[in-house]
Amino acid sequence: MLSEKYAQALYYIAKDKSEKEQEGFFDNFIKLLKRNGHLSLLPKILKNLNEISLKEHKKDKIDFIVSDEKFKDKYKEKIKDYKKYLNLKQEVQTKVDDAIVGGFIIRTKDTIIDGSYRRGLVNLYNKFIK
Amino acid sequence: MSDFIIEKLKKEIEKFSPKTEVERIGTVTKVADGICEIDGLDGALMSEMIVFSDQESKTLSETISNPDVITGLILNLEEDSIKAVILGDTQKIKEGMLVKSTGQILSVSVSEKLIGRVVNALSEPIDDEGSIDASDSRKIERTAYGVMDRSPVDTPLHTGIKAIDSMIPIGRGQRELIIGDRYTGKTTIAVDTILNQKNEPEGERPICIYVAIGQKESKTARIVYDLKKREAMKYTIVVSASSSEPASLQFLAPFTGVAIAEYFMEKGKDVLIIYDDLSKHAVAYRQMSLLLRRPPGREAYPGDIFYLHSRLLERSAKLNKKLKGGSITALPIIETQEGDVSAYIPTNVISITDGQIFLNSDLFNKGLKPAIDAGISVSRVGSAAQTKAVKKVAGKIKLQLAQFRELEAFMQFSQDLDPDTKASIEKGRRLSEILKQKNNNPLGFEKQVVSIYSAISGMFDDAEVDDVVKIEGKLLCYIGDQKDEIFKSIKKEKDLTKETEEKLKEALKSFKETHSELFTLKK
Repeated sequence: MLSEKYAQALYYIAKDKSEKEQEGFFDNFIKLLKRNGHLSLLPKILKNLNEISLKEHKKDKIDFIVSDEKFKDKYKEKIKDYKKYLNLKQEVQTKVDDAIVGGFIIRTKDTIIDGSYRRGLVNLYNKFIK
Repeated sequence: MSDFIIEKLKKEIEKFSPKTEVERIGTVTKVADGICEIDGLDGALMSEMIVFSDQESKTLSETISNPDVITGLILNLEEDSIKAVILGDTQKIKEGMLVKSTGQILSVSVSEKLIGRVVNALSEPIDDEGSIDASDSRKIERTAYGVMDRSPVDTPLHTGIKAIDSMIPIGRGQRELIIGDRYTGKTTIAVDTILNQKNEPEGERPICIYVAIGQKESKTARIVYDLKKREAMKYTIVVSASSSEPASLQFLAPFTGVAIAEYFMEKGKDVLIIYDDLSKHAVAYRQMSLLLRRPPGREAYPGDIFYLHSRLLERSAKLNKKLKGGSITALPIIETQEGDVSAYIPTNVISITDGQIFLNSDLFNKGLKPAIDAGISVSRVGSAAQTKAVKKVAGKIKLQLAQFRELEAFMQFSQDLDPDTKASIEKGRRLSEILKQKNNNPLGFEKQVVSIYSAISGMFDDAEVDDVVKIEGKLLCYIGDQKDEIFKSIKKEKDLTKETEEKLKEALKSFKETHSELFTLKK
């Protein structure tokens, strides 16, 4: 728990700062750990720091998945509309996955907008077998 | 026929246009011991049902050929993450797997078609008799009916066990705890109560639900077999979460049972629900709570262990006429260790229920079965839920047995007893014998009345104590064959009228005369 708190404090203070400034923060951080007698927590703190960094990085990501390269431009307008609808400001990363058959999927950390043909076909199949 | 199907398929394909769906999702970050930690899922609800999906990495044919869906239940909403229990095969859950929110509190499917079936804690059939076409669904967690929605318990629920129906009567809508050490006959009492409902007229017969929590599968299978053999499965549902299933399913099973019971109660029907047993339910909940890192309290149980059972048992009620007058009668079972009723879980449940039936291992070992300790067993509803006929005979037997218990203890210190005391002791012995009953042999209330009446009227005073049970059996057969109008009258009137009582006295007299060889005790 304590290592998590240290990691959080270090992350938010060093976030969006230059490399030179980050070095300075890190030196001060080590001195603080020595003074408090918590230097042994350093490996755990670094692990927690890595986890926080990955989590935060995910927040900033929007994955846009299409079934083929040639459909990238087809859904450009849709992406703009959904970004506005969900109030997202992150950068879009386009991926190609032929398993979705057709259509598109937009995925953020906590929302998925699924307009893929795979989903539609699975729903149609389930309707038939009922 | 095939042309019709082809035409239907063509129409569906022509109409096909995939819709865009927006869903809230999360990602599994940790999985261990049936609990997973999820990142994301903003706006998640407590007790919300979630679905684990690995379709992301699968092709269309793989998704269709393997449609198994694993659900989960959110139980911890923390600052940075969500913890959920997995309600299925935990080995299929992987780190990084997608989790979808359903936006619904966990519900189970309910239907009339559940009657006669064996289902798991998610109300899915496990008896290989096909799927169940569920007409409705019910939330597993809901607030119990309020004070004004209820009416007093005034209709008896006959267990078919003489000792209970006479001295510890249970009413429809009551919660009566069955408590005792292992192998003292707790499940036997519960199963006999289910079997006895066959003696009730069909219109008044309650639907029975047996919830097996953490039991051996062989035991549950045996119970289902016995119920099927005696045609009791026609009005019974079995909900099973065996000891080999995850603690999450053992935790859910009683709530599934009561959700099914409420479905029938709200239609105006009476339901009997048996929780076998809540000790194992408490252990399963403790396991889950410790894995969810909730702070442990006394005996490592979580702080809300009382609330777990109180909210479950409060859902048993008798509704008023405005709500169709249905009822749920609960028979929770608790296993004690070495007769310790003052332990944590037993005292919790005793304080919640409307009485308890205490089974004593000493009485069991002495051969007194059912091994009910009438001294400390109680029904807080009492004679308000007892037929008039049983009430007439029950008062006397209770008093005489109470006197016998006191004198029995006194007898150990003194052998020189006055004749009245000796007579009371001998009478008490015969009354104790008359209350013995074989397993799976419930007795209709009209037969119980005759049996107890014959004992309190002194019919067995001239018989050996060991012959009492045999004589009782012959007496009931005799009256059934030759004086059946006595049984019919008691069953119809639900009372021992003066006229019927006179006929009964004559019948007892003529039985004694024709079977004098059974009454051989010399005074």
